[in-house]
Amino acid sequence: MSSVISVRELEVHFSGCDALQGVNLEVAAGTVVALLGENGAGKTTLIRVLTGFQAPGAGKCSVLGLDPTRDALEIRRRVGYVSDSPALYDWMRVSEIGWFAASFYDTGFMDRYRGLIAQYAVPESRKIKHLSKGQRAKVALALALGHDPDLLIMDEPTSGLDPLVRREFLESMLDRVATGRTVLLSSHQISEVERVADDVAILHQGKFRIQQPLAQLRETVSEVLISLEDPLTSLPELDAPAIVLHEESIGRQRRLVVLGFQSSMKEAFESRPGVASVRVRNATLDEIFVACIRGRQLAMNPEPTTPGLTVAEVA
Amino acid sequence: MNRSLAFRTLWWNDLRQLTPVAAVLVVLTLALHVISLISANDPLQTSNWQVLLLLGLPGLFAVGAGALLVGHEKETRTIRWLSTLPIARGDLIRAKLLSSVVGLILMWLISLGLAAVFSAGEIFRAEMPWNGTGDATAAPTWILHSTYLLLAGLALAWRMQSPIVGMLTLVPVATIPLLVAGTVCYAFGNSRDLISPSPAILLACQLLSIAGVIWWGARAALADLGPAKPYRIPQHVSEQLIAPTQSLGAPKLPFAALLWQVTRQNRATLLGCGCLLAIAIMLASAHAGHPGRAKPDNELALATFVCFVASSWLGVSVFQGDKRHNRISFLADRGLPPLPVWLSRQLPPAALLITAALVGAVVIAVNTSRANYSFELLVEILLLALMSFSGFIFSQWTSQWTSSPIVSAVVGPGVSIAAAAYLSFAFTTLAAPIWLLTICAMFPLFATIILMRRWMDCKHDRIFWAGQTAWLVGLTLVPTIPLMVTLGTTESMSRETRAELMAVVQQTQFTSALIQPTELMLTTKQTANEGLEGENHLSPKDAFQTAKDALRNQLTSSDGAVQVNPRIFDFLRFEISMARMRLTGDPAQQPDRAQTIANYNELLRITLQIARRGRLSYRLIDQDGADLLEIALLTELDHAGSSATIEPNVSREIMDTLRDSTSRHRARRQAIALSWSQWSQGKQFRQYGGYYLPDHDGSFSWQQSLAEFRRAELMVQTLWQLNDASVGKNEELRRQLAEYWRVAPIRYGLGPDGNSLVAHDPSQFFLEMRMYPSAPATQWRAGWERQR
Repeated sequence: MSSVISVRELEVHFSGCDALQGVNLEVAAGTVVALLGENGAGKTTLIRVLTGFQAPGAGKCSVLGLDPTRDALEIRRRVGYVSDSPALYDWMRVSEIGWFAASFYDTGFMDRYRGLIAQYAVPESRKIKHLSKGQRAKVALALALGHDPDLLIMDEPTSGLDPLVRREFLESMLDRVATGRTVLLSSHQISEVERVADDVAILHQGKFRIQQPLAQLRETVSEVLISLEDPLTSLPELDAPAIVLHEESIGRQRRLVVLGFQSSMKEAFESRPGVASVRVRNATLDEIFVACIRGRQLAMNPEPTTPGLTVAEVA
Repeated sequence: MNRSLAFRTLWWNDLRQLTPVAAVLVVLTLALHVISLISANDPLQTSNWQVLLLLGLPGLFAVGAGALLVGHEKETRTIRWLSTLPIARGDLIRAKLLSSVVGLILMWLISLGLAAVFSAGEIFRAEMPWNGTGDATAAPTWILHSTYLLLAGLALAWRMQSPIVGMLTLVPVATIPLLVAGTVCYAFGNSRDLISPSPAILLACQLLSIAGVIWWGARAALADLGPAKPYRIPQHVSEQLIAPTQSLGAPKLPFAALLWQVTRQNRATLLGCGCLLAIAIMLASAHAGHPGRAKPDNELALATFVCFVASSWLGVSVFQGDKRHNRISFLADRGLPPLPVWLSRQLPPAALLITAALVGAVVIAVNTSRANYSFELLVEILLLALMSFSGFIFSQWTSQWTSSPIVSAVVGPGVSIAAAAYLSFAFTTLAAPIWLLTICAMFPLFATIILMRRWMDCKHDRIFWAGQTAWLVGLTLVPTIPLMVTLGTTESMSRETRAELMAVVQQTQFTSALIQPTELMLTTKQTANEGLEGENHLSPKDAFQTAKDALRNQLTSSDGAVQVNPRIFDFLRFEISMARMRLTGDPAQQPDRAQTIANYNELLRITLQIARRGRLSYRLIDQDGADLLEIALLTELDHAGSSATIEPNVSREIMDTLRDSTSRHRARRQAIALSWSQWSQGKQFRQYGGYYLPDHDGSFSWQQSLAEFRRAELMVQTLWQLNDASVGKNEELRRQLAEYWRVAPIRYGLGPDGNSLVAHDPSQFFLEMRMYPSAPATQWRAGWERQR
């Protein structure tokens, strides 16, 4: 599949901080890619680079085959972009803002917009400033989808919304993907990402920690809970292909989040003196996210052992 | 909670918010004072301008303080957050009131200080504008009025939703005390003018108005900080309300949609400014249509002020309307190109302004009676229109780079005034041509177009600010290009000549060479005191004797330089001629021949003395006068029979002097250098060596002054060269001098019969008594100097 978004060694530096440090990203057509990261990880900066609002310091990127530095306006016309705090004309009514935006796109925008507004049950005659937060978010989404873009970029669109509204948003995304469109979604609502994302990329301090299809990530990352008779018992280092993403001690228990944990490794732990029991289960995305953010010193792995998997050094 | 600490903290917060706009206003006022000082040509105009600045700084602050402290906080919702803190509403309101009053007092003090410094105290003796009588109540009137503006601004900011609407409403509200006072005087007094009430009534109305706005403002503030009233959403909104979007279908032209959006968004501002422009038109029309009113300037002044404010705020609305809640991102996110967005922001307010200008022109033309049509009126109206458009252009530029609409609304007019002042300074003093200044006046439009994309993307980075600064620098420097060109291309005195002149000046530094030459009188004090002039004049014989005695006495009582002026020259030339004529003919027929010969010789001696003493003068005009005296003496020597009438020793002295060309050239050389020194140091305004320098242009611009200065220096160089030159170059140098001094070339002996005016051959020299030199060096290097 051809890449809708392609990012190579992208760097963005602000005074006093490196927002992006050599990130790479490929988004295939017809997929939902979730961009996860804590506050200040660089998600919004990456999106601003992709939409041409921010010039990169180094590296290359392309969106729909266009260079955001040169063709920013064309990209913004062709993608549907929902920012984290969408600017709307609060003095306009819901119908008026759609009518206004329709003038910038091809025919069909108005019908699609009104259909979405009806679907979201937002009153057309009400002024934007009198809408609730969720209703404003729906209007912003309808405006972004009105011209039926091939690519939808959303920057924390459900921030501050109630679960019902978030569910509606997610269903919209699923509908879009079903028709072959692509979605790049930035969020830190892990639970909703789990439901919709095909691929997950976790950004931490300007670098991608993990980029992998979600299904694969779930299968390859395990939570290992080791009960110890003596809390000071040392455990052997795990050999490749296992990579410990996170490790913590909770009393007599040692909790590890491991990528590529093998059953033989479990046997090795169990046979260790001082180990009472070992339990292994698939880690949730939430646990993976936290593990990537908190991290542990790991060796850089330039040659990923698992196809499609990238794991970067965690500070 | 420590209540006093909380109150002080609130006060600190409010003063902090006022600081940026106060700082900008002070800097602007300072810049305007400097421009006024540099371009000061007419002391009265400068004085009026400084009075305007004195009143303008506190006035602008008063207009903006309420909008900034209350309106801006309401917009950003920080006042809501303050309301959630355990602070009494009254404390919050009092803190804002107190900080704004303190700010106003500071502005007055700063303004008075600046005015005192830049006018060297003269400002406090000048008449205030709008009150031609210089009434003592004028100053308190303006202080009270600024206080009223401040309090009314605060009250309106509490009352209104939008700070811009509040400021717009302030303009008519500001006139309430004046109108009330005028109405009272009109109804109960002798006044026939609504806007020129008596000072006492005006003061009383101002005090009452202040009390009124304090009460009203307090109520509005308490209501605003109290619980909000519920908003009622209409259950059945009429289809007509949303008909345009449904019935018209999707707009085909994006530009039309943009125009619709910006007009709807800014309709309050457009409407308010439209009303202000209408008021300005009515005032201007009243000024034009009513002849013989006591104070017609009041109406024009008010019209100018209102028009200027309206056009400035129209300019502010261009970009500030989109800045609210970052609305411009809506268009930026959808990839709209910057140019149509820029055009759509500019078009509605510009169209309103142009329409107002056209309507105003028609209304004024219709209302003005034939008798009142005058060029002056046309100029006034044109200037008003120009000021308005420049106010719009500079204010729209300001609105792109200021973050707050209130700061923009206050700073915009200030920047416009500063820009207009600089451009008129550039026109009058730097002599920048109108077409160049018109282009410079468009720079703010170019700046906003070019930086539009960055502004839409909210990229207020170094490139954005560098771009804005670059346009500002361009606006400042481009009008100086003609001056720079003049500086670079105008020929000036060579370094060698300058060094030679300086050397002569330094040699005479500690001598008596620069002492002012004595002015010789033809009368004695006694004859003047006895009134023996005019009707009681002396007989010709007695007058001659008196004059001769006076000259003799003055020459013997001092030994320094004397002025050789036309009166002395005419007297000596005439008496010498008369004496010689008496001595021609048969000596037997002349009973007092001996006396006549004695008088004749005495006259020759006096003439020679004056010529010698004239050579001591540093003034070139005295050198030229000495030339004429020496030529006259030479003419006497050359006359037939001079050996019988001129005593041998007198003849010898005259010949010695005439032969001493070295001393003559040295004296001229010194006079050229010293006269140049006096003139170039500005000690003698527009005079060089006693001659008034011709005005080649008539303007006061720096460019022309520089050109004039260099032209004059070249003239000095020409004199220097003529004094030292060999015979060959003389004609060209004389031609250059004639051209500079704007005299016919014939005066320098160039052209038909030119030789008769230069003593190449003294016997052919046409020396008319009244032909005193109006240009220097007319007789230099002529034949008379080569006597042996």
